[in-house]
Amino acid sequence: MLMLRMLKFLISIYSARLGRDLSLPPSQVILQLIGAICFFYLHVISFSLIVSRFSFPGWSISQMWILLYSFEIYTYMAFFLFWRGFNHTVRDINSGGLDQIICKPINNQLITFFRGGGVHNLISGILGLIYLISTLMKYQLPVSWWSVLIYGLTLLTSLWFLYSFTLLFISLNFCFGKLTATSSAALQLQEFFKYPGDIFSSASIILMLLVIPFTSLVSFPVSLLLHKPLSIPVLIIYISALIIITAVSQLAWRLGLRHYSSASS
Amino acid sequence: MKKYRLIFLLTLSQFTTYRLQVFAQFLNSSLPLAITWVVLSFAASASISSAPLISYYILVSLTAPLSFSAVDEELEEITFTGQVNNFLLQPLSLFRWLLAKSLSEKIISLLFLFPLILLAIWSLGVLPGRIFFAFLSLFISFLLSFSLSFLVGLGCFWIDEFWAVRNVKYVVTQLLGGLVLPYAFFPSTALKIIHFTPFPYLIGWAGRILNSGYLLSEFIIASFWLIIIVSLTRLLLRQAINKYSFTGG
Repeated sequence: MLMLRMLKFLISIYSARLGRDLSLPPSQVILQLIGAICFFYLHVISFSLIVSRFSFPGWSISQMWILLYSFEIYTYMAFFLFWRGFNHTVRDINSGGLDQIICKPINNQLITFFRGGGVHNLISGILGLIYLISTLMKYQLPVSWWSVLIYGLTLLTSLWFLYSFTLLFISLNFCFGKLTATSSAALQLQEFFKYPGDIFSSASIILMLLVIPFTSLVSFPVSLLLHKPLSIPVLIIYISALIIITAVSQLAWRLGLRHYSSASS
Repeated sequence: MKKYRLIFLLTLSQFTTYRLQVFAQFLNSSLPLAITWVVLSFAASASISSAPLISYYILVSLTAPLSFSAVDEELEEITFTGQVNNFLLQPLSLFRWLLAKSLSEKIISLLFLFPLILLAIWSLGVLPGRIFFAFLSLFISFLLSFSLSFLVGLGCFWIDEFWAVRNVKYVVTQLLGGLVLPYAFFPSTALKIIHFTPFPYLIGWAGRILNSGYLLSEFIIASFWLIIIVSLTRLLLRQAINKYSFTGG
């Protein structure tokens, strides 16, 4: 019942924002789209230059392209779902605006971080999906309904990881004043997301622990989609990192809220 | 000139107070380069060896924050918040005010990065003859990057959704400036065209000079673009201020 209420709340927030965006003059919508899609093609161009010169052991060219388009879907969905919430929360913590938000009778994280997303990010994510499907068809890569379902679920889990990681950094604003860069903490590492995690299997254990949780965010769902054999160490690091980051970020947010004293935080 | 020196000194003291901000800016421009380098050092290539890539990424990531300018973002902020009114009332030039602020920020960044740059020059065995030209190019790069960013930023006087224009500028300068990938990855015909545009001289130029040397033609092309862009900026700024006063922001 509670979950249903939350879902209704989320749908109303996001559809309101989408409605607002779509009611803008067409020239502004097009400009917004260009501003979002230019990054899409920056990744495509740089990626094509890289895969033309470098090979990634265990990953064919077609699989690498599936990885890239999954990365595009993942990052644009992250922008669509969280970007506005992350930025506004940092500002609200430091201006005292969080007072009005946390006193409402609904889950404080839900109301703080989920504030709607731009239609340009949603369209860019859909564009990534179209490219993904056309690449699957072009190379006739075998996927099943089951693998598509698991892919979707693990991509959502990876979005939760990104949310938790940023939540942890945003919580620092309660103690250290305005740290604007914390709102993009995870997205600063997005270059890692578009490469397979298993290329680091020969790296030192410290590098593996630092890098694999980020490289697996997209490559793990893609491995499941394409029925690729899973690396056990990568799987263990991915799941452990997810559990640890969720627990620590939730704790940091709660401690931060306790420390919060309106604009004087 | 005295008032701009004062602005320069004031901003200098502000940046020495918020040292964490300087560090955050360094991370912001160097992290994507560092990540690409880490990834490529674990990938296999038959055509490109990883040793020159390592020195390229180190030198460019250390020098790029010293010339990269995001003044378009600041211009957007002061326009949309109405702070630009100060320049209609006070005897200050918007361009020079922002330039003085930006220069002081870069000097603090240089103080922060100088030991690291020296260490990189020493450990990578950079030829001493390149060092002078690298620092000269750094100064031209900073002016060019600032002017171009300012010129693009003036668009916010006309466009509501200005962030989209900023994104396009960012993507183009990062890609064509050799920041996303070294020029070794680009096709040779594309490189010949890029050489005559302002993009190679905006951000990664000094790092490339330290890594692989310089050409006199590069300095001529960069200076040519600097004159063109500064002239365009002066022309457009007048129209932008007129536009602002007509609409009231």
